[in-house]
Amino acid sequence: MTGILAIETATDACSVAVFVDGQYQQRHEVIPRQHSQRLFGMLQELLPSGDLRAHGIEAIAYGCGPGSFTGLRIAASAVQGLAYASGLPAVAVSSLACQVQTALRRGQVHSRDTVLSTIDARINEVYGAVYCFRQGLAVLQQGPWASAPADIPVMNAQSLRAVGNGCRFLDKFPPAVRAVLQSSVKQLLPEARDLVPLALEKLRCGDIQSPAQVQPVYVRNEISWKKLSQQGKQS
Amino acid sequence: MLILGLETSCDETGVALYDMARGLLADALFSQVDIHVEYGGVVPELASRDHVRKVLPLLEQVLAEAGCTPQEIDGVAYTAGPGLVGALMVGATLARALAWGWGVPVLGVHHMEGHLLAPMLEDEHPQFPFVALLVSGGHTQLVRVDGIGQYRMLGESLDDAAGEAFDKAAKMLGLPYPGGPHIARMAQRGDPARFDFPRPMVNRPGLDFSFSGLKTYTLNTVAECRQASELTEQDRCDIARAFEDAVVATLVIKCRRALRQEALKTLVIAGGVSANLRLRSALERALDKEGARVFYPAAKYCTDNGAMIAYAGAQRLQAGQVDDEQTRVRPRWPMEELPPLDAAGAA
Repeated sequence: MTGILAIETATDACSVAVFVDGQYQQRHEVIPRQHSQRLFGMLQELLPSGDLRAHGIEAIAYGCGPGSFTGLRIAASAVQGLAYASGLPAVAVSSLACQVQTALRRGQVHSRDTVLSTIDARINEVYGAVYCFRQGLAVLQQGPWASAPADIPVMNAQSLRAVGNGCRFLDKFPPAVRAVLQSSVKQLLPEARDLVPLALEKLRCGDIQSPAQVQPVYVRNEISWKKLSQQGKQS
Repeated sequence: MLILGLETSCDETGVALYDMARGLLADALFSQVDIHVEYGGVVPELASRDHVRKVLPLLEQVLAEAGCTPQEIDGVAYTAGPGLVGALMVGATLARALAWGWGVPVLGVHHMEGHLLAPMLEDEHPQFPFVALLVSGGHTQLVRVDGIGQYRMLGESLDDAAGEAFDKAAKMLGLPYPGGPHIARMAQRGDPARFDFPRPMVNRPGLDFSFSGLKTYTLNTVAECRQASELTEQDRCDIARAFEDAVVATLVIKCRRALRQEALKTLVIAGGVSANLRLRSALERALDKEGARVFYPAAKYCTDNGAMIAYAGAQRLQAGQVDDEQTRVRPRWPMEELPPLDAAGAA
């Protein structure tokens, strides 16, 4: 079975996993703003050296976002470097999809559910996307988007289970969403090992990236800085 | 020993390869000025986003230019600070990943040490000890340098950096970011006799600088011109000239004072403002009278670049200094905390 190194740092969790010979090893620590300090220590705890091929790794999966901008760049920069140095392909997986897969493995949602995956986007916004499952793998139905909690644009859902730390805004979700909500799991962060099944499927489909193609998917592309023209000044 | 250097501390992505035996083999730079100009200054989030896009293509470019393979690289150096934290993290994380993947040592380098050592990239370079004037958008410092890592701060700006003052004065004159080169160009057409701007802190003992008063003086002069009539092109040129003359004169006076105080005859200037031609010629004239000499980097190594990081990293890596397990970026990092070159261990 294909060996995978997986890195997920989109949220307060710094999470690294190795999947080789059908066995998982993972380091998962909730360490806000310390990801860059700990990441390589965690990798070294799982792999004796950075010679990834020698340790049976054949591809590098990463959570590409959305989430903390800095966190996304840490994963992307690390994967760029590791993929470049090893000559291995990279596989981008949505951090929202990874989180849904984590919830499934933990039994917090079931494979017949439709799941609203949320990540707190700060400044009173949430990242979100809706997933269902096909053969136990999260499949995107709607999104991803960044929006105010009241503006979550979920359409035509009969029944939803919400997961992720964006659920702290649950009471502000639109009435149409709340009306079909069966459950919510606030205390959940994506774990790197749950990138693996989704990455294996992408590898099977040939959906791989070269090192330079490894980039964060921010979803929120507007920044709060105003251009001089918006400030009424000449550039 | 072939060292890869990565610079991502602010708004330039720099990558270079430096070999201890053969010198600088290749360097590549991408400036983000066009991205930030619309905002009138560096937007940290946009800077970080662009570094992630540019740094790997630049790495491939320098390897191709140098005719090297990644397998030949013996170590990786990156800018660990000071700078914008998000931007620093991009270079630091990539450097750590490459080094771990290649099985070579890695070291975080001090950005200002990079600038300070940039004149060493020239064929004719200074010998230790010397006084260095580090003058950029983020720093104005006078440092006594007895060797790599042997630094003593002699004086620094108490408020704005000289480059920052240039940018702000440029803004007042309706000039785009970054202001330094625009002010210098306008000043060429300015009348040096029309305005006499103060030379801040030159009448006080010591080697500290202050540029915020000069900024206010500029603002008031602009307002006075506006009051009299519309601010004309000649007004702007004359103000640019007076401003530049005041900054240059202040820097020259303090540099001369620093050399006398330290009884040294060699001055190194580095950092973005060291590209200013009027500053260079004024320093040369003033120091010539003292029997002293001024060294500066080639124009392309005055601004941020990967070559200076590769050079500084190469010196320290060869001396056995390497990062420990944790990646640390330091947005603020006093240069005096750096270990001397012969002190092996974590930098």
